[in-house]
Amino acid sequence: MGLLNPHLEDDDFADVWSARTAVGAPESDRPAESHLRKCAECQGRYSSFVSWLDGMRADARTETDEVFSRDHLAAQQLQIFRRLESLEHPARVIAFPKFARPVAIQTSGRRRWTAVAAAIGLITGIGLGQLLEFRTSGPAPDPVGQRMARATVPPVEATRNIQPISIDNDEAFIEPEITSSQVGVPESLQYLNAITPGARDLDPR
Amino acid sequence: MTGAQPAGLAPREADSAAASAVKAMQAEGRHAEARERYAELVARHQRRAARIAFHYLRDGAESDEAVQDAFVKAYSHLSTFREELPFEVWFTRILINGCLDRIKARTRRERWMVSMPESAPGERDFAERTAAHGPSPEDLVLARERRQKLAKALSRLPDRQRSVFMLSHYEGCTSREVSAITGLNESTVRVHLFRAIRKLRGMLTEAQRGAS
Repeated sequence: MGLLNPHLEDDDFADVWSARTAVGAPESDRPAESHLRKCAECQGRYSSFVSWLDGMRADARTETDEVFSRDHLAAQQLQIFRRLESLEHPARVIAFPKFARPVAIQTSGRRRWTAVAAAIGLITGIGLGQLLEFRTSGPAPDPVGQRMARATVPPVEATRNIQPISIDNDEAFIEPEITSSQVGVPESLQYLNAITPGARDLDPR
Repeated sequence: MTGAQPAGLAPREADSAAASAVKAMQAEGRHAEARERYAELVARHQRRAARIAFHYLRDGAESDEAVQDAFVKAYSHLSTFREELPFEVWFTRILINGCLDRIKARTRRERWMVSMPESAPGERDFAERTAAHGPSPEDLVLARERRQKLAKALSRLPDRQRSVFMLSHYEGCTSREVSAITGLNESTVRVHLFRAIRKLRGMLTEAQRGAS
């Protein structure tokens, strides 16, 4: 609506229509209402504007009704109630691994007695073993200590007169070691010691 | 409004009575009875809910899920429902929020996926169409084309304008109801409705001119 065109335009119709729809009344407080009441031409155009909107609504409804048929809505309702029922029964947690029958815990006295007897047997065995070993071997010699004593550094005056040791002397040096090592060998093992080669036998020279 | 309602009660009052009863039954642990009474509310609002969801989502299966979700959510949160607000308004708000969330999720998904050409929603196969005794195939094609144009124009509206237009025009809600559903002022609702119509009129007239 303007100075050159006294009639209403689409924007005016939209304004009037939205105002009427918003309040849900046949008339609104919009300024275009007064002209619309008087002008037959604008009334006609307004009617076609309203029919265009009504057609739009009818189209939209037809389209939805095609998608959501009565059967579809019935199925939907069933699904809704299935979901509501499942809300009241929360998911159960199943124990895993699940045994076919419960594992029996044996509380009989037999098992306990077996364990006690095994423990006593073990302790007795260790004690007797220690006692027998002590009796057969007596106090053990300390070969490491003896070697350490022999290997101590001689005084400076003594080292000055040291002569180079010949191979025969090496033999003589090893000999007492072997003989002394045989002293510590128990009687029962001396036969085995005799038949097995010693370090001296393996010498390629 | 669809669905059964107790005789002598207006739809709103019947809704409030049913919602209060369901709430009380839930509190007392009478769940089977609560569900039975809730069925009344579902039957009354289901079709309307499906329509609203479909206008937002434009996909039958997704709208179906959105409606189911809304009813399940409304049932499980009924303890927070205040009787002074109509059940319809409270429920529609839940439904629309769900639809908007789905649209957001879909937009995110579509960023990473290539869309496949789809048949138009509600499209029937050839045999079904030719066997029907309704409108001619030509009429059906024209109507479908018109709906597609309308849907396209609606989808190009801003979210608020589209919500206001659909609730006011398609569902016949007053500005007060739309205001309660959308959380906008009544005067803002009127402005959005006016702008939505003006834009739709412009887009559809342009499309018509382009076609002819």
